[in-house]
Amino acid sequence: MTKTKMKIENVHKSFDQSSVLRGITTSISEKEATVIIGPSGSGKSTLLRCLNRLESINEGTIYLDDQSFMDIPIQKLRTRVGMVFQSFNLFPHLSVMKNLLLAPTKLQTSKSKDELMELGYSLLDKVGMKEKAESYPEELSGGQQQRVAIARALMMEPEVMLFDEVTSALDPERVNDVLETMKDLAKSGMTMVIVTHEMGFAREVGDKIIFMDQGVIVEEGTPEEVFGNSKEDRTKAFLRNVLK
Amino acid sequence: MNAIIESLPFLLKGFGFTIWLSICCVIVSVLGGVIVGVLRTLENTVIRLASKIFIDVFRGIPTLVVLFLVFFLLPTIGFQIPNFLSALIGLSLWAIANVAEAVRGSIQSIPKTQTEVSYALGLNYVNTMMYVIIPQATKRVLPSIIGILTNLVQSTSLTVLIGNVEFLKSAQITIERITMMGSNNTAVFMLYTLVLAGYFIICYPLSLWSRNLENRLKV
Amino acid sequence: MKFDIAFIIDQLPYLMTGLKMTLLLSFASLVLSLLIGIAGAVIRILKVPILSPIIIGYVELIRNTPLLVQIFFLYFGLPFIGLKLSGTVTGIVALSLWGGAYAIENFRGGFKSVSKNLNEAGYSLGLNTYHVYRHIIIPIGFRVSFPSFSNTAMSVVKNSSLLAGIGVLELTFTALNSVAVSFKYIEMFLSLGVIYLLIVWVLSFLFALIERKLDFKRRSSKKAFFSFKGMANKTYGKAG
Repeated sequence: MTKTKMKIENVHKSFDQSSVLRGITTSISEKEATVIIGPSGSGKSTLLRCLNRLESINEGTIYLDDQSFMDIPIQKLRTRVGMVFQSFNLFPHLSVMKNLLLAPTKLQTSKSKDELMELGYSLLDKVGMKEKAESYPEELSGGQQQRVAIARALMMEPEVMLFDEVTSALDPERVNDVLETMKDLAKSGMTMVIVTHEMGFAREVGDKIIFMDQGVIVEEGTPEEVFGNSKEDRTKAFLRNVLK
Repeated sequence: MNAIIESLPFLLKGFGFTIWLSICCVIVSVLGGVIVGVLRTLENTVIRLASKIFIDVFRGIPTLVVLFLVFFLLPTIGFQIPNFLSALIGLSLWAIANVAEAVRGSIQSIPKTQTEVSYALGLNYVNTMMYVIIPQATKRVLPSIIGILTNLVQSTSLTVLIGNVEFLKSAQITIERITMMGSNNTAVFMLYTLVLAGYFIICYPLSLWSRNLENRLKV
Repeated sequence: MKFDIAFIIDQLPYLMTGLKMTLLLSFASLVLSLLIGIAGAVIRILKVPILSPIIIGYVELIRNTPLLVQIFFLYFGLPFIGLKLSGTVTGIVALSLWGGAYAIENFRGGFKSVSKNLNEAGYSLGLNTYHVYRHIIIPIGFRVSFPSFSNTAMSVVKNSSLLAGIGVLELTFTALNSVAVSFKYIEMFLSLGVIYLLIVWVLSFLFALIERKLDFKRRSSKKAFFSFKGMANKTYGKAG
């Protein structure tokens, strides 16, 4: 049994009148990839955004290493929990390397500029983008931009990485590059929470699968349990639809 | 204070003049602006260039200088016209140029395919403009035209400097009258505040209208 | 009637002193407008309590009243509260307040268009609001807003002519002075028009250059590529 990295307890979230999350309780294990699947509108992206407080929650508690979110200063929390978005969101006015350096240099980490550069190059190398360090986002393909975005998030040396449908905006032939990068990251022991529509990828990389629908967790377990042997009708119906 | 109240009819007359001048300018400049704006989009090089020069010159020169030009130039070349007319011509030249530029922009923002498809359907140039392009362009150009008209109303205040007794001037005359009975900073302050308020009352609804139309366009 | 070129040449040095004043007033006012514009836009977008409503009121007041009346108000009306400003100072204050109000709207549009996404990308890297604005929203939004700000800037320069109304010795007032003794209206006002056109033309050229410099999309590509296309239409600023 691995150590629990994040604990989510009875989380509720609503926008205006409609409640999007209705009592989510689960946990994220250290050095594991947790994959959240479910139909659109199920609340999976909202849950993910709650995990680095891009959304505030109305009720419930989230713990990081047994420390309540509310006891962690928000900026500190966000450097510990990195996030990559569907629309890569690179800063268009900065080169790739400067995109990587912006946050760590402004947040005055203990590292010197040279050390940060070195870290930047090694991360770009890891995602296969070292040659593009001086390019501008405009000049890169979607897949390349997304890999840079992953490297940018890794610059803060986060303990947990959140991925919000990171391949949805990519051309089909670019999807694999990004998925490979994420697989490598998973193998290296990064704690990851992934929202995705790529079921094959979910099955291959996920240590734990969470199936959400209408703001609640319907079913969770190992990929074999959820994909191979789902107990709930809603899960079965969803999987039948997407695997068709 | 009493002196100001006594001067109210005089001030109102000035305010009325401002509104009357504004209305005349609005009519002339919208009509003129649409015509020049359409001319600016024609294929004929001479017409297009001429309208472009007109637009660029009168948008480039400060309104005040245009007013002076008209005010002093026309009499020198033999046209003795009343101040009101110089004001109307000067302000309209400036406003026509601005309206025309907005009209040109909106016409050119309509995709070329719209024109092509109309021609393909057998419509001629006039019909294409009348029934396809201008109706679409009108919607887009209306907010900026109202913006220009708001500016135009404000610019009528400049005609003070060529001797029109409009709202601002009537306030200044009142100030002179009052201060003749002894320096009176309160009256000066109050009268200028009143003039600001008077213009605000006309212009603010126009601004709101323009913004409203613009927001509706975005949806 | 004959057109007296010699008179114009004779008066040019005098007009140039006015031009110098016009450029000085414009430059000072533009710098201040820029600062007011950026600060005001950020305050509006962040909905800073108390300040934000004040900014809204200020912008509406300036945009819905004539600049000339604002100038007279500052120059003749403010002594009422014990504030007596010289013509030049009044000019800079009036033009800056006017330009600032328009600039706030220019920048607000630009900053808002810097997508919510980039905002979030910044926050999720752990940056605070100051850093997100300082390094992401303002640099990108500034580039987006620059064309509309340059229109405002052009209007500020043209509107400096209104300061003739309170006797500031700028370009228009020097021309009026010269006319008052020579009665050569046509020569003087035509020259005046031409000088303003030249100023506006040079400015629009400068702004187009700056715009090109700011364009990060083009900066990245090595190809030096220079065209005047698209410049002409932006040349003359907006109404005002």
